[in-house]
This record gives sequence, structure tokens and C-alpha cells, in this order.
Amino acid sequence: MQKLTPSTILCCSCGTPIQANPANMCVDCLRTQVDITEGIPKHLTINWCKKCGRYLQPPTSWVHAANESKELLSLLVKRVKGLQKAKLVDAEFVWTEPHSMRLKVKLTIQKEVFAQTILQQKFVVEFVVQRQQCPDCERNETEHTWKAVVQCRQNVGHKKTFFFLEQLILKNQAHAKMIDIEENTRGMDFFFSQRGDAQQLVQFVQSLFPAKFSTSKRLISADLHSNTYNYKYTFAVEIAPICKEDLICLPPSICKQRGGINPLWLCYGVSNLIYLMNPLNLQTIQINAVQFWKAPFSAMMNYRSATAFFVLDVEFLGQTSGKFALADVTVVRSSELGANAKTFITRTHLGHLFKSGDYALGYDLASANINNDDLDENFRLKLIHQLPDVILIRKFYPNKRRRARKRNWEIKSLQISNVAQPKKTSDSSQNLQDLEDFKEDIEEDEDLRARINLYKRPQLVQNSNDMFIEGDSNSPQIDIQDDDDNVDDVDDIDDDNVSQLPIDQLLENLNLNEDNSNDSMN
Amino acid sequence: MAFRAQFQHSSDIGVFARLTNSYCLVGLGGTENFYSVFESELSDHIPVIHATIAGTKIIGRMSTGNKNGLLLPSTTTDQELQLIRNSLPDSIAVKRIEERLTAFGNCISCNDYVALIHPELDKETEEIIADTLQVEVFRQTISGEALVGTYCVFTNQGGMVHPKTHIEEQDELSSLLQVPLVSGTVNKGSDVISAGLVVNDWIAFCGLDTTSTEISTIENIFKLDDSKHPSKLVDNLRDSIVDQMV
Repeated sequence: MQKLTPSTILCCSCGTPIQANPANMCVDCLRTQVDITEGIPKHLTINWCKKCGRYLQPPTSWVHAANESKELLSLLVKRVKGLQKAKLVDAEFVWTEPHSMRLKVKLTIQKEVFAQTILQQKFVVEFVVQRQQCPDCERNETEHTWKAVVQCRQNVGHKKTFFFLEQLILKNQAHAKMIDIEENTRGMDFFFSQRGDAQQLVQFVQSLFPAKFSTSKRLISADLHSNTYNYKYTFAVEIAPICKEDLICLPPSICKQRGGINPLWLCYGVSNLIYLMNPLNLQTIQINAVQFWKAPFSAMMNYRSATAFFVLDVEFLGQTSGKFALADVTVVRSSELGANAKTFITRTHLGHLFKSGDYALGYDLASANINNDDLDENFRLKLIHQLPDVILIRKFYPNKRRRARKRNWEIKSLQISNVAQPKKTSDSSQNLQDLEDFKEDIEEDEDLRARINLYKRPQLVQNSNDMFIEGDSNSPQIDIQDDDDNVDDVDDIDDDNVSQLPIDQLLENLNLNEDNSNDSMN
Repeated sequence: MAFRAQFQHSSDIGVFARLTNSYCLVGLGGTENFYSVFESELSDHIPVIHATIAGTKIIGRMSTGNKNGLLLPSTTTDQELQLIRNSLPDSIAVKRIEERLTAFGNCISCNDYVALIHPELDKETEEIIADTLQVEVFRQTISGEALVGTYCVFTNQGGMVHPKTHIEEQDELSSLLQVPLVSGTVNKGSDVISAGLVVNDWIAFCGLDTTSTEISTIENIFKLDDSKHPSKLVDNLRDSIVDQMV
């Protein structure tokens, strides 16, 4: 077939020879004749919040967008009106000095002009970045930053419960919607921007502890015309003041209700139920939150008032319940260990833990000065005739201080913005002591460990490696240290086992600033 | 010479006028201004006639003709036919044709010797065309378009075709018509040439939108320099005679 040659015509406006096109006009003339960017604004403003660095996406949302990012580009292009009529082919940033508060975007559009003639044109749209405070930051500037607060309280002398709650919140991501956390002398305050989020936390706490709550609201502002009211909500959550290892004397009313049970109990666990055990016969009962708050009671003694004992002899009685084994244990106060020590023979549910030569922690009821209304009432009603001399609550490791140093794990903590100022320096040291106690609980209690996240401590691993290398080179310093260790090891063989948690139970910690911190340290 | 004109607000003047070497038909009604443009340029040499065909003023599309004759569609009324017949000199044959395709202006393009026609016109029509206009008839398409009357305009001097017409096709047409052809546009890039341009051997009228580039193309290909104008022709003749005598 014959090959056809397209003819040349003269551009109808300038006379340049061109090949025929639908407009029969050369490209340059078309450009001068029609501006396809007509009706598209070249100068626009965009609102940016200086404080949080977010851009306004009309009508109301504010979004984070890095400079020259995809997100920012799409946000800007959306702001250009009149692009719907043309086809957007390309968009790119033109570099601008950040302080100039200008953003320039080069757009390439295509549009049909005349019949079937598509023209492509590039042009730059300049955005002026205008500062505007976003509503969130506006709110932060006022005192009305939060809408709902959950005030968690527990009226006990220590904060172990709240350390545990903190770990559970971290593990369950319950802190995602918290805007602020404050620590208080008897608990913690959690602040939320939505009431529903606060309610969720209340439910979360109620599922973990025997807790009750009450709510109140405060009117902040009201618009009678539109019938809108702005409230601040407060949820006061009170956790039952009973912790693990507390010695409890039940009120006579409860004993009666439950069929005349023995009033003296040892708490062996707290979830949303309180688990009580009679250490003398392994009997257990459970008390739920409703029952507890109907007739609340307090602990007669807690772990702080426990004293150390030295185990001389263990005699199993054969009765077991779960992991607990009933045993008669012969103990002396560890402070009196030596001559003239008074020995006590006590029945305990912890027979499985002890062997002769161990240390134990227990309540020394023989010498304790107990001040408890329920106990007095029980004595008056002759429900209790005599208290046992000693009630053991757990095994005791005398060389605790070395443990903290050897710890190969760590826990994370919530960012508490406004720690309540301790009135006395002893308060803050008390706090540290509580935290240390909690960490020891983690080491000694496998069930507790299973419920929270523990992370590896990289520095410690490094340090121990260093020591090991130095040890090989037989430097005198290390030799002396080794001697120390040998002396210690005589009386805490178990302690090493406790402080070194199995590495497979620990999580790898993600630390984004790790490299930087190392650099700065070096 | 080429003149710009406008019919009412339309630049498509070829729709409303039919110009040949021996007469000019102009659509009736509309603006008298349009008529007077033709009248002022042509009335000294050829008759300029107001006419309608089938009650419409789009006579440029409905009729075709050359110096020998005029073809009208079957929809032309007797009265209109009578009027045109009476207005034209007797030497011009006016013929009304029974034909399915009535828009002769779109289907037929001719000069005084050759005619290109739509390939689907009747055999009888073809014969009538040949007889009435005294032309050689070719069934042709132009760059794939069957409407030869729309996409090409040619006179005894030259012709202009659709801008998409290939060189080879132009050569073929040019050898058929025995006149030079060029592809071009009118009315600022419009490719419907006969709608924007009416032309005879010495004068052309084009739409008001036509650019000067297009006009110069038109003047070149149709050889519309002033020397061809009938009044100038006499002057030229006289000049040459005087030259010889001197």
C-alpha cells in the first residue's frame, strides 16, 4: 500500500508551516490564544498551627504533614480550586526557604481546547502559610484541657497496686487515649478528652480490682439557645484496700453470713475478687466487689509489718490444696537467732516453700500490737479465743540489695506529667521502696510475671560481658570482687535464681534513641 | 482580492451564498449588509441575486453551479425556481433535480470544466450534472470524507482542500482537476472550507474570522491578484497595446 504523506498547512495565525491538527494552529499560537490555567488561583493561603505543626484540612480536621511530603502535596493540591475542569498530570514541590512561610507547588495540567485539541501547561501555585491555632492547642492554652478524669484511689500505705495497674495499662494499651496522668499520694488521676474513654478505663480497672466508682460532673459552660451544655466529668474509683499477703479479720456479720467461718484469713491474691485462705487448714473463700463494698473491712496487718523468721524445721501434714501444702514449721525470729531464741511452732499453708535453714517472712502476732475493730468485735463475741503466734506469708531472701544490681530486666513506666510533690523527702524514698518491693514481687511471683511485660536490660548484659572479659585477664580488682561474691553466695544460693529471670520471658525493648544515647555517652 | 464578510453573526458565509463566474446568489433576509458586500464588489460585472431555496436561506449548501448552469434540489418551489430563472441570464441553464441527497452544495464541487461529486449520487444525477454544467464528472472523496462539496473549493485557477488531505491524494485530485491544490483552513483554523469561503476566478469572500495568513494563502492559490479583476484586465490589455504602439 502506498505510504501517505501528511500535508503541511500554514498555522492560521502566524503562518508557520505545521502539520494539520484539530485546531490548525501551531502550539505557540495556541498557548497565546488560550490559557488553560485560567480560573485556577495562583496564590492561596493555608493554615498551619505553630504549636503542634499541623495543617488545616478544611473544614475542620488538622493533619500532620512533613515538608515536601506526599501528604502535604495532596493537601495542597486539594486546596487548588478549578482543577476539576482540567486533568492534573503532575504535581511537585518547588523548594522554598522554610522560614519564608511559602510553599510552592508546580502543577502540570492538561485540558481540551477547541475540538479534540489537548493542551498541556505547567504553572506554579504559591501558598502562603498562615499561622492559626488549632482548636486542640487552643484548648490546651486554657485550663479546660480535659473533659473527664478518672481518680483511682486505694487507701493503703503503699503503692504496689498502682505500679501493677500501670503495668497492666501499658500491656493493654489502655493509655492510648489518656491526655495526662497525675500521681497522687493515695493513687493516680487519669485525664481524658472524651467521657467515653474515661468510662472505658473505669471498666478496665473494675475488671482487674475489686473497685467501686462514683461519678460527678461540673458545668463549665452552657448555651441555652442551642441547648448545649459543656461538662467536666469525674469518675472516682476506689479500689478495695486489700492486697496480697494482708492478714484480715472478717467482720462477724460476714462470718455469720458464710455459715460461721473462722474470721482470721490471709489474702493470697487479688483480682476482681479477693481470694482469702485460712493458713491453718487451707480453706479458701472468695469475696467479690459487691460483697466487699456492702460490708467493707480493712487489713489487720500488711507486708510492711511482717518480720523475718529463720526456719528450723518443717513437718508436712500431707494436706495440699493447689500448690499450697500444709505444714508445721518451727521458726525463730531471725533477729534473735543464736542463744536464747524463742522458738515458735506454727502451721502454715506455705509448707512447699520451706526447708530448714530458709528465711521466712511472717506476722509476729505474739508481739504485735494490733488495733482493729473487727478483731475486737470478734473477741467480744468470742468468735476468736486466741490468735496464732506466727503466720508466715512468704519466703524471704536476706540479700535483697544485691538483687537490684543484678537484675537483667526492666519494666516500662507511664509518662506521669505532674508527680505530686512529696511533702517530705521520706515520701519519695517510700515511693522508691514501694517500686523496689513491686519488682521483688515480680521476681518471686510467677503469676504476676505472666500478666505484665518485662523487657531486657541491654546495658546489664553488656556490663556483665565486660566483667567477664576482665575476669579472664585476672586483674586484681576482679579477684577481690570474686571473693566477695563467694562470701555472699554462701547464704543466698536461691537469690541468684530469683533475680535472673529466664531470658525467654523477657521482651526485646524498642528504643529509638538508643544510638544517640550511646553516642552521647561515649 | 479577498474580502471578509459575515452573515448575521456567522462567519460561515459559504452557507448563505453561491458565487460563480457569471452570477452570484445570496440568501434572502438576514442582514442587508451581507448582501451589500457582494453587491458593491460584483454588481458591475455579474448579477447578484437574493434567493431562497425550499424556503431557507442556506442556498450555498442547497445549490451548486458554474458559469454554464445552476442545479437546484427537488425541494425548490416553483416560485423560487421561477424567480431565479428570471433573474439569471438566459445563457445559464437552471435545472431542478430529483435526487435523494438534496444538499448539492455539500455533495458537489465544481469549476467551469470539472466537477467532483459525492460517490452515492444517482447515475441520472451524474449525467444531468455533466449536461447542465458542461463538466467532466468524477465521483471522489477527500481525505475519507464523502462530502466533497464541504471539504474542497476550487475554481479554474486553483483549489483548496481539507487540511488533513495527504500529499498523494492532493496530487491525484490536482491531476483530475488540472488546477493546483493546496490544503488549508479558513475562519481561523476551520477545516470546513466551503462554509467559510466563496470564490470565483477573480474574487473571493471569506468569513470574518479568517486570519490574514489564511487570506494570503487563499489569494495565492486562487490567483486573486488585482490583475485578474475584470476592470484591471482591460487596463492591462490597454497598457500592453500602448506599449506595442510606442
